[in-house]
Amino acid sequence: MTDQEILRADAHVLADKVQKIFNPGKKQTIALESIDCRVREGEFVSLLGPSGCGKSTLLMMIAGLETPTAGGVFVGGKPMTKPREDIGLMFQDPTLLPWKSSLDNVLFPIRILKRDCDKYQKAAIDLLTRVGLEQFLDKKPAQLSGGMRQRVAICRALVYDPEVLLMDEPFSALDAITRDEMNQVLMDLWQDFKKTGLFVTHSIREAVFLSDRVLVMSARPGRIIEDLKVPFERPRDFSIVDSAEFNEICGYLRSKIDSQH
Amino acid sequence: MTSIVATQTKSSSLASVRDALLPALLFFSILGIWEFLTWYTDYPKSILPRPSAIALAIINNWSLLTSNILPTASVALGGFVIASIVGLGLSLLMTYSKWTKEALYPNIVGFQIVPKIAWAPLFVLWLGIEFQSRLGFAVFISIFPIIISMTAGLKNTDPTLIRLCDSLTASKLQTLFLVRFPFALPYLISAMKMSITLAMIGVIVGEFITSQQGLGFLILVAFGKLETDLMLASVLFLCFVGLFFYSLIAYASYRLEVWFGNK
Ligand SMILES: Nc1ncnc2c1ncn2[C@@H]1O[C@H](COP(=O)(O)OP(=O)(O)O)[C@@H](O)[C@H]1O
Ligand SMILES: [Mg+2]
Repeated sequence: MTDQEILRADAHVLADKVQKIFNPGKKQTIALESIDCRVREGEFVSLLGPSGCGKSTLLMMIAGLETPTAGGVFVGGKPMTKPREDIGLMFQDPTLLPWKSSLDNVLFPIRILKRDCDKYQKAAIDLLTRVGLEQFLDKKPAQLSGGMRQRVAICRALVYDPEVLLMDEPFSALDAITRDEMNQVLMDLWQDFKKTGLFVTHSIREAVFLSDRVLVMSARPGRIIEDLKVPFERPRDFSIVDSAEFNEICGYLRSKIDSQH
Repeated sequence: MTSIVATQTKSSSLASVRDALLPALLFFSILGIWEFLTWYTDYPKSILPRPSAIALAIINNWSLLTSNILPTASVALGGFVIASIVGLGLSLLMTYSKWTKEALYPNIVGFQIVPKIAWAPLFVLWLGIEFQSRLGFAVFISIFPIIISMTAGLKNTDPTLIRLCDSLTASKLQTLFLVRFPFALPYLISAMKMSITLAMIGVIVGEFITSQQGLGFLILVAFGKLETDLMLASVLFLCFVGLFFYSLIAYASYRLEVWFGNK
């Protein structure tokens, strides 16, 4: 095996010296200079970094929705050139279809992928039940709270069983209490649906609670300036956020982020 | 909790009664004052007939009026339907073909500013004095809002949702039918409200120029004989036709809101 093959084999998601320049030329924006990032199979990794440092851009390249200017992005060892079924996405906005019920919104990917909706119906209902929405299967987004909508969006991202889940600040728009609830919901789901996860957030606490590893990015153009393993056993309960060790880790990460300014 | 909900629905239904009652009250008060003044002032009846005289004209000319509804309404509706379909097609074309959009859109927006009524005699010249010229003109003046709103609607679909579709490897057609088009429907409906009104105007103007039938034609005939009461009766009938079409679209718009879960 060549060096690069070894590198790829070990990582489910791999960004290798990735550079991204928007609008090359006079008015160009260097979003990412040269970033390396790898996520092993079944690992949950968070990306922490200031606004505009290129986190979303990196995620979009991994999803195959943007192409790197230089360097390579690989998922499952294969280079990403266009979107693939084995990768799921979640955004800050739940982006549900307003005219569809929760259940139909969850089944939306199944329709797009032209799989048999009847076969996935039970899986969709099970997922919605897992996140506590069994009473809301036929409700439309306008009748749900912000947290409920984002729960539907999680179910939608999981229903077609992608291997990798990319989440771009999925809970940033929620209030603090709902956000904590959603962290626990995601943590519990992760126990049953072992996926490879890459999670972008501004919240240090959220990153530490959810992740096996936290990556800290510098301001634009983004580089990885810290790569920290989180030692807590899974499944985790939200009560650990009050522990001294948890807060020590958060404090350390904060100092890393602050050292940027 | 239930009592709060109950009072809310009660007060909202009261509010909707008031919403309908207030404008009706104003309308009939004005009619009443108008009628009252005509009895106590000296004025030529041929200029402004009193409301009761208009009502009488409607009764006396009932079959004349009703038989002229269809020629006007059918051409207006036909023009509106054609404008909607063609306008929709053109906006789809412009959404998916950058070249078409760059070439066509500025022209359409520019043309939109031109007073389109001025073109009416040309349509008679091109399409003759039968219904074709009126239909053509109705399409011509009612198509602009459809194209412009629908193009905006198709363009304004939430880009994150488009990204979601792309990430799910959706084809362009899937994204169009499952996401873009439903999201643009409210734009289409509000454009249709404008468009049906314009189609009516188009047909009436066409009838003023050439027609041998229709409510617009009836207005001209009554004008020639200085039968102002019949003129106003025809105008009233035109109002009813317009209101009927408008309320059909308003109902479609309501159903759409329900479908979106907003009502
Ligand atoms: N499509 C684009 N065209 C031009 N510049 C862009 C585009 N997308 C992002 N950028 C720029 O790239 C930088 C990184 O953006 P982004 O990845 O969204 O940051 P983050 O998600 O970390 O807040 C920002 O300066 C942003 O303005
Ligand atoms: Mg972002």
